[in-house]
Amino acid sequence: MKKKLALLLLTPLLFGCDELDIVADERLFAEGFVTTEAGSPIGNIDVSIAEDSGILGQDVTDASGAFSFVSLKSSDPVMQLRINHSTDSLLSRLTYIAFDTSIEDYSVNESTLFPVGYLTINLTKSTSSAPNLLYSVAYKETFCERLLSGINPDQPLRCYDSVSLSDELGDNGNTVTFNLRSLRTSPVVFRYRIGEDGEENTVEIPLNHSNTTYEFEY
Amino acid sequence: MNLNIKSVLAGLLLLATPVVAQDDAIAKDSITYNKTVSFTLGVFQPIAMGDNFISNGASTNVGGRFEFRAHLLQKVNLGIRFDGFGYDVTNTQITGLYDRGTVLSIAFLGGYDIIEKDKITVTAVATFGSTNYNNRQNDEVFRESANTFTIGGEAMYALNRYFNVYGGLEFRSDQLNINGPPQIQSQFNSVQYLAVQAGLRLILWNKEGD
Repeated sequence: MKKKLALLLLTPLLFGCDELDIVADERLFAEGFVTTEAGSPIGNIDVSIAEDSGILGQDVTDASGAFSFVSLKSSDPVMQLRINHSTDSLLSRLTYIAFDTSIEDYSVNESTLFPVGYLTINLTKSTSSAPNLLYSVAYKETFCERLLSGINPDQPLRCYDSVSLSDELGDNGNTVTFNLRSLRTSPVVFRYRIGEDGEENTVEIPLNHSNTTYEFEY
Repeated sequence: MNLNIKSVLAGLLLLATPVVAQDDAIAKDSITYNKTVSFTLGVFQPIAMGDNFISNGASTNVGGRFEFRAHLLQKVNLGIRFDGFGYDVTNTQITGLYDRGTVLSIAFLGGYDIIEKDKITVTAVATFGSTNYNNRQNDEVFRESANTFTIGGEAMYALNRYFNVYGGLEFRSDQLNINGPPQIQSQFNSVQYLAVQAGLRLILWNKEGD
C-alpha cells in the first residue's frame, strides 16, 4: 500500500509537467503590423503569445497587416510573441522573446517577413570509379529572434543567419538528396570539389520559385 | 450585447419609486412575511452590458440560484445568496485564449418589501459579495476573483401559505482584480450585467398566514 502511495506521489515528478500554468488575474496585450520588405501589408498571418507548453493568446493579421489581441499569462519566465509560426508558410518566421516576466505590453512596431523557398539538391556520382565529391551548401535561415524589451534591430539574438553544411559524396553511396528551406532574398551557394586535389567551384542557385530542384551529376 | 447602463439603472429606480408612495395600511389586506424564513431556488439569465471583456467576447448562459432569507423585521429581510452561471468565450482576441468559464458567487442579501397587496409582494433587493470566475482552457483551470454588487426588484406571488413564485430584474456589477496594460485595463476592471430572474420560494413559520 505504501509503495502504491509513494508511486502515486512520485508520478508527477517522474514524468514532469508540460501543461500551461496560467497566472490568474493577469492579462497581456499585443498589437502591431506585419509587412513585406517593400512595406506592403501581409494579411492572414498567425500571431500568438506563447511559451514552450502552449499558446496563451492568438490572432490573425487582417488585410492591412494589423493584429491586436489579449493574451493570458503563464508562470513560465520566458514568453514569446510569435509571428508566422505555421509550418508550411512561404514566409519567414519572426519571434520576439521576453525574459522579463513583468512585461504586459507585447506591442511591436512593423514586423517584416521575407519570402522563403524550398530547395531540393540531388547529387549523383555517375561512375563508381570517380573520385569523391567534397561539397558545402550555404544558405540563409528562415527565422529571426529578437528580444522584446529594449529592442535593438542591430543586435537580434539570431536573425536569418547564414549557415553552411558540408559533406563528402562517395564514401557511403553514389547519390545524396537533401532538402533545405532558405530565404529567397539571396541565392543558395553550392561549392564543390571533385577529389581532394580538385579545383573548387561555386554555383549560386537562385530561389526564384517556392520550390526549386538542383541536380548535379559528375 | 451592449446595453446602456444608465438606462438600466434609471429603469430600476423607476421600479423602486412606489416605495415612497406606499402606505403601511395596505399591508393589512396582504399576506405579510414578518418573522418567517424562506428558501429560494431560481434561475436567471445574465446579459452582459457595457464595454468589457464579457460583453464583447463571451456569451452568457442561464444560471441557477439558491437563497436563504430571514424576514425578522417588518418589510425587511436579510439573507445569503449562492448563485452561478456559465459563459462561453466567443472572441479570444478580447478575452485571451480560453474556452469557457463558470461564475460562482456568495453574497449577503438585504431586501425591503415596497408593495404588499393581496397575494403580491414587490421587494427591492440588494446584495454584496464575493465572486470567482473559474476559467477553463482545455483541462487547465484558472480562478479569478471579483467583488459583486447587485440591486434589483422582484415581484412575488403567493401560491399558498408556503409556496411563492417570483420574477424580477436585477442589475449586477462585478469588480474584477485583473491587471493588464493600459490599452486593455478598462475591459477587465468591471463587468455589468442585467439579469432576468424567476424562481420558487418556500416560506416557513408564516404564522400570519393562518
